[in-house]
Amino acid sequence: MIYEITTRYEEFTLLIKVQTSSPQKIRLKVIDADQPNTTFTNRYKTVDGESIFFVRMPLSAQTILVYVYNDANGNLPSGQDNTFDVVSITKEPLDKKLDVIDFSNPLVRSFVNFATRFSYNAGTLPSGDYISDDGKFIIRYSPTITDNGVEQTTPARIDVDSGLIELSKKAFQNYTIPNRMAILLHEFSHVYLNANIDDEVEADLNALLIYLGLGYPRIEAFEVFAQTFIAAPTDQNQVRYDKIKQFIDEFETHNTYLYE
Amino acid sequence: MELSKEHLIYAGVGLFALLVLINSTKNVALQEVVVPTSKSFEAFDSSSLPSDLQPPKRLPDNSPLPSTLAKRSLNLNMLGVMPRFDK
Repeated sequence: MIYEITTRYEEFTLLIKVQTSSPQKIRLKVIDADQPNTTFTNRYKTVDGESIFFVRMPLSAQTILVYVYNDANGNLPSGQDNTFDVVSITKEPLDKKLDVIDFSNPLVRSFVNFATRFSYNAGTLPSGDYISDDGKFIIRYSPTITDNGVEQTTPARIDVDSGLIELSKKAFQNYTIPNRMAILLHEFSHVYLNANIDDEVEADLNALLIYLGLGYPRIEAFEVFAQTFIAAPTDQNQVRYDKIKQFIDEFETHNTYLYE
Repeated sequence: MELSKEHLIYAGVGLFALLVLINSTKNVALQEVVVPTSKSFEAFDSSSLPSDLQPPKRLPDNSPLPSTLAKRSLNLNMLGVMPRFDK
């Protein structure tokens, strides 16, 4: 089923209530109706009975398309799939915590603006170098990231000397907007926020503080880190995953923003 | 009973709070589409986006890195460091 909703670039939380009579893997995708490769969320949940998908949307489009379908059956119009029902779709105010973000830092202000605009448009942008309005940040959007002609597995990296952020278009095009934001904020944090520039966990948590404060969905942050860690299953990445999970849980439940 | 100015102010504030509460949650009419009715992807033009969502400026190909980039003061421990997302 596809539902079209006019959202006029507003920010909100979308609540999609779904009902099943037995456990079913229900897929939810929210995409921009007009701009290609622009996805706000792409997730699934095994629903048994009634369940609500919460989609935090600090960014939206003029019009969005909400896809809800059973993963086992594919996307079918209503009436052709009796394994689930969409009970309602509701818009509620977005819960943001902007006070946790140091917007008094002009670099943070500038980068959040730059990263937001890049993330929203990355699905349509051609390869090339993109610069922030104030000329402070640059993103090299390449078909892939290579070293001596060898394609690298990482979707992103930053040169600590120049501040140049390299992104793999091949990887980035498939990411959701929140995924893109999480990665960009991580690279930014390495150079401009970390006490220890080479500390991955510190960069993860500095990035998450901004990401969560802006109101982006928790699940999309987990997803992008998990995907990357699965591709590079090192001991350090296991530690990173555990720290990220703890940080997100505490952000949600205790508003704890400090870390080791 | 005569309404005082104070009562009217309390009533106004209460009404305002009620309206905010009612308007903060909106049920969306379930409008299912088989083929999206909005314009096709090919017709997309980013110039119609609001200013805070406009694509960032693209530099001409083979341009040198601008000198305006934000720098962090470097030290010896940072030599050769190039953090990547998956490590």
